[in-house]
Amino acid sequence: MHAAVEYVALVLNIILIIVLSVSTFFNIVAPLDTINRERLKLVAQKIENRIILSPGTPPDWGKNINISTNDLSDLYDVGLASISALKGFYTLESDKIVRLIEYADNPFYIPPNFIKQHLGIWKTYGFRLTLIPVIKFDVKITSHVYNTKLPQKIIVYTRNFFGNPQGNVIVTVYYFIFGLYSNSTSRLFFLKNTGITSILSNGSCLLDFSYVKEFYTNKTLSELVLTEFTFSRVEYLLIIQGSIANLRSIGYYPRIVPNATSIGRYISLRQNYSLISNNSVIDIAPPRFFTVSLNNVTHRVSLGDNFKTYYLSYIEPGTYIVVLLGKYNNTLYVNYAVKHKEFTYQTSPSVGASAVTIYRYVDIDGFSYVAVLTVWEVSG
Amino acid sequence: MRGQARLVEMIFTSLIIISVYLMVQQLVRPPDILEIREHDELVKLAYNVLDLFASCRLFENVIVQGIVNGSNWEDHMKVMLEQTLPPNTLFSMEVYNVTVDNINVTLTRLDTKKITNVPSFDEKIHGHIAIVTYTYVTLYEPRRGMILYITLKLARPG
Amino acid sequence: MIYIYRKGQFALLAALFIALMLVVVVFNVYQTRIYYRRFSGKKYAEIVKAISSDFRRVVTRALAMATHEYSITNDFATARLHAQQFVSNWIKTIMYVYEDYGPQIKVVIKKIRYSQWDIDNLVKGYWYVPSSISAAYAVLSLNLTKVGFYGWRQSVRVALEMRIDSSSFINTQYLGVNVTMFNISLRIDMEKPFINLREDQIRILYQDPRNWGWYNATILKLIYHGNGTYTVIITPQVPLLNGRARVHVLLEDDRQITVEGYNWNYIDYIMQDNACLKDEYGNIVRCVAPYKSYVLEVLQNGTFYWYYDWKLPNQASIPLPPLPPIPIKQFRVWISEHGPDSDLVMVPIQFERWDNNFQDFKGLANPYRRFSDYHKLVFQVNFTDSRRKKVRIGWISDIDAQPYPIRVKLNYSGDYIVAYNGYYYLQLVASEGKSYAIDWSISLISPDPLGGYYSVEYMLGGYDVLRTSCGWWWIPRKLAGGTWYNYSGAIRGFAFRHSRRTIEVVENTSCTDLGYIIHTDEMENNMVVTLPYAAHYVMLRINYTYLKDIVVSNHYINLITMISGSANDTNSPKRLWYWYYTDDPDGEFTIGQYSSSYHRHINDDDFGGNETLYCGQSRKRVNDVNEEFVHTIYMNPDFYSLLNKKGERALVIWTSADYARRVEELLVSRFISSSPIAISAGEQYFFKVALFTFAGDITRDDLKLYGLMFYNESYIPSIEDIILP
Repeated sequence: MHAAVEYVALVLNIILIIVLSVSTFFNIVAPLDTINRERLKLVAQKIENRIILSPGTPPDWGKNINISTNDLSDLYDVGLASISALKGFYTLESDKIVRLIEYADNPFYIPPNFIKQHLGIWKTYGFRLTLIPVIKFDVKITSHVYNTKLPQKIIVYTRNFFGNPQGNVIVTVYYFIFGLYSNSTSRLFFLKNTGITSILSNGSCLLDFSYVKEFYTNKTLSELVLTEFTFSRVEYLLIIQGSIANLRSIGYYPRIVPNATSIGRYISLRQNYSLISNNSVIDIAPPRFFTVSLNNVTHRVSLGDNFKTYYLSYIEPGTYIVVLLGKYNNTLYVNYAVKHKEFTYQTSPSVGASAVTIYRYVDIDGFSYVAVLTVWEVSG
Repeated sequence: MRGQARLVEMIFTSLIIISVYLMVQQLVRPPDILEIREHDELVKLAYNVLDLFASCRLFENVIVQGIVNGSNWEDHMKVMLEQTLPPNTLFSMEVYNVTVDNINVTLTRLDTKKITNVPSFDEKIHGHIAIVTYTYVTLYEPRRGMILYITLKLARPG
Repeated sequence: MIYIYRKGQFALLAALFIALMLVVVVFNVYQTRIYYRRFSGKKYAEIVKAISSDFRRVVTRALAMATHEYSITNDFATARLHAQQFVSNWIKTIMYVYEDYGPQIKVVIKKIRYSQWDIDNLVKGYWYVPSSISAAYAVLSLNLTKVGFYGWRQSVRVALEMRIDSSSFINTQYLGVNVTMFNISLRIDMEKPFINLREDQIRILYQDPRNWGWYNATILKLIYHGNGTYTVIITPQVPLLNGRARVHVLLEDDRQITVEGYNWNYIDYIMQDNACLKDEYGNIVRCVAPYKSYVLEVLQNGTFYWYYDWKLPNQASIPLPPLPPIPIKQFRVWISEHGPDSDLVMVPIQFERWDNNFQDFKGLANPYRRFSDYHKLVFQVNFTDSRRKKVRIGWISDIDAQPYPIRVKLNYSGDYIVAYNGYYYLQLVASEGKSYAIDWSISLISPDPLGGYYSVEYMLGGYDVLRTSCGWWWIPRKLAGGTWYNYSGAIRGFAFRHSRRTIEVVENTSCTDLGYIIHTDEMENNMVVTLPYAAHYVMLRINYTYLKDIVVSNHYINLITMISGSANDTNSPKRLWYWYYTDDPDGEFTIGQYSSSYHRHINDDDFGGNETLYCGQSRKRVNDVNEEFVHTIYMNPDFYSLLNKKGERALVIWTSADYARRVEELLVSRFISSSPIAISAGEQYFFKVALFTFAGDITRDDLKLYGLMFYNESYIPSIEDIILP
């Protein structure tokens, strides 16, 4: 009897010991598993610190036009923050932002792999950085001027970052019209209109340009079309600015992909692009704009054979978009170089399974954006 | 006699094991890493939002202007917080005016209504709250040179 | 197994398992701790950033407070103190709010150099010139001791700069209105352009040449050209001076930081001395002389005056520029050491407040006020070694500038006011009760070449004579009364009396017991005695207005009398022995000797010279060299004709029997006993006169030369050229 009880007790004890120790062990280890996953958030914060909150190395790399897709040797660390001591801690520099916007005519684009390498996360993590304006605009043209494609009445819809319609936004539209005459000279027209959105109309406001007087000629759109428009080609550009409680956002319409790039006072264009005249360049820094000219650059800039670089005679601080009027075969080509806009920049097209997202409000030249940083672990 | 001794031994052993187990459980409670990360993230968010407000001169335009006009600025502030904080973020804000005489720093509460999306925030939210303190010197009209002291508390539901 | 089991190793087995478990546990605990530390992160990073951002705001507010207050009070030292107090309040707030982090916070004030300026002492300004700035610089040093964070440093620069483009001024028409246009460039925080200027943030003052003062111009339009450059279009149109308009620009930005600019840093004048001796053909023989110093006054509209009311002629090709409406303490004057091309030396200056169309002196100006249409800027120009001098009226841009210090000392000494101008003492009888017993009103006490000092007294405005019961006469019986007010400045002192009180000497009980009574309805006197620093002359401007009809029972009306000598220097080498005066219309000079007893030497009613007019006393005959010591009264033609108001003009020179006094009287009517003369109500005697003292080699030509300074307007200095930078 004794022996049997003892055996049973022994076995039970052994089982008890093993079970207890194993379960304790797992109690400890299991959260460590969670810890591992939480490490992703830490990495995300580190990436945020490196990319969004620091200016990079060298801190003024944004202005350096020798740092281009072909030659990144002068760039050690990519950081988007502005180096000026004046700015707040979430202010980004537009010259650095431009380099993350990918389009065919951007010779300054920095491939995401470069950043991955420099951050030391080459094999382990991937990230996606998206910049979204705090107030998003959608434009609907409800009527045109006579038979032209020029808008006469437009409705601007505003949404906040979360996608909800936004009321009480003061919307200002700067309406630029560019004309090319058959004798190869260009002309610029400008109108301005302001409205306030209402939540009752789904965060929109109607802007009617029918009676607005143009800046240079003091005529309305219809009068202009009848009297001044003997162009062979006409193009237009709307710059839309929204402001609510001093929070400002900006956008443009139609949403053409930029086809020139401006860094500092330089502007790079496709080699085969020709301007109408040296003076047909417009620097738009709302609420103002300036007609400027291009000068030749005195030193060599190596952007590859497809691009040529010019030096703008003047660029106003806070410029949003530089418009170049060019022509090709009697067709007016309007080129834009935008200093900042909504974009997505990612190291791989697909986001990993477990991803962590950080949202931050940032300021670029006085306009507010939300920077969304998503970080995931690369499997395999 | 021998058999009983062994029984006692076994019981003692079991008791030792159990007590060690319990002791270890207490010692090795893994820190709530999830909550810590969450807390840090809320702190950063809070400062980011306050910084955004600062750069838009919101404190002058909403708080100080509201006090000067005698209007319901607390609700206006609440709307701004709702619109800029991510959804599902619980918040509570307190605003004080700082006056300094020779030695003493005095805080005078300015908000007369609660600026929060959770009535009785302090009672209802348990678990981790990110509490952020922020000072702001007003630079623009209507009243310049006020030192505001702002407390912003953020939490996630659940 | 059974063997072990039987030996009771069961407990050992259990112990082993426990040990194993403990090891595993300890290992895992360590792992967790490591993760925990890495995860906890730097919470204080956000706090430090938040404090830094607020620090920038606090320095901005400090600059705004200081410059805004200064633009009202013109006292930057106090304004800066208030700003520093605000910063210190903020530091206390941070220490209180972040107490749990153990903050150690220090705001370090350093000096930096930006462009052409030194910024130190937290806030600084350089205003009133074409390139002006208000700036602040400070460094925040922060430790959070309870979280182990040390060594954060953040420097902050805040500034507002304005540059007036002096070459951009145009007068033209805009939308049918006559306007003046000019460009300004604005910069913020030492690095970026000011791009949002509004019309209500800028104020332009212009000076209307026809009226006194500075007025607000109306801004018709502001045009922005980019990069912080604006064209300002104002009306009314302001005349251009050397291609620039006289405009003063005041700017305040959104943060309330203020700055002011003016179109020029200084104005240069080439001044020429015209009190010159000529030969018989009219050629200039000599201008310079040792004691040739002029105390000039400048008004806000840029006109210069000498000797109370003679306006200096402007021979330059441009009209006189006005003085800017800036705080008085900023002004400085430089004068070339010798001729106009020699080095400029800063000279003392003084500012005065006047009233009633510059008739009444109201005291020295408050240096923290802006220079206005009731102020005078006063300084001295010497033409002792060159006929032409360059005078630069400029202003310091540093808003911490202190006013120029005071030089002339005025002391009360019993019944007298004694003023020392660095050369001589001027003694004024201050207390009314004494002046009747002393037959002089002011005394000049000059250093004597023979050692010590010598004094000469002057009686002002006595009339009538008292016959005592003992048979002797007391001159004068009535004397102007009232209280002297006095001020001292860097350039000149003033004694000023404006009163309706007249003192009449009366006999109390006997002829040796004289007293006085006061009349307040008889004569109003308004006297200004000007005492220039280090000069050898005193200028008087005097006005007697009689308030009612008076009978002067004993025929005697005096304008000014010079008296020297006393019983003490009867046999002293310091005795003045000679008298002299200009005698006839050709300026001929008469000299004579005083005696030791009563004697009337001259009783001339037709004296005077055509280019100068003076009388005086000397120790030796003028023209004798060495240690000459001379006192002179310089008159002018207006004075001369005033003397003849009653048709009885007289110059009487005599020696008195008692104290052997040497007397020279300039009289409207001579003393004739028991012969009354009437003065009617409203009769006015308004004149100016200069009293000169020399010690050294003096010739008759010298006497004449100095007289030209005070004779008439054709000899006063002129402005030959005006050079604006």
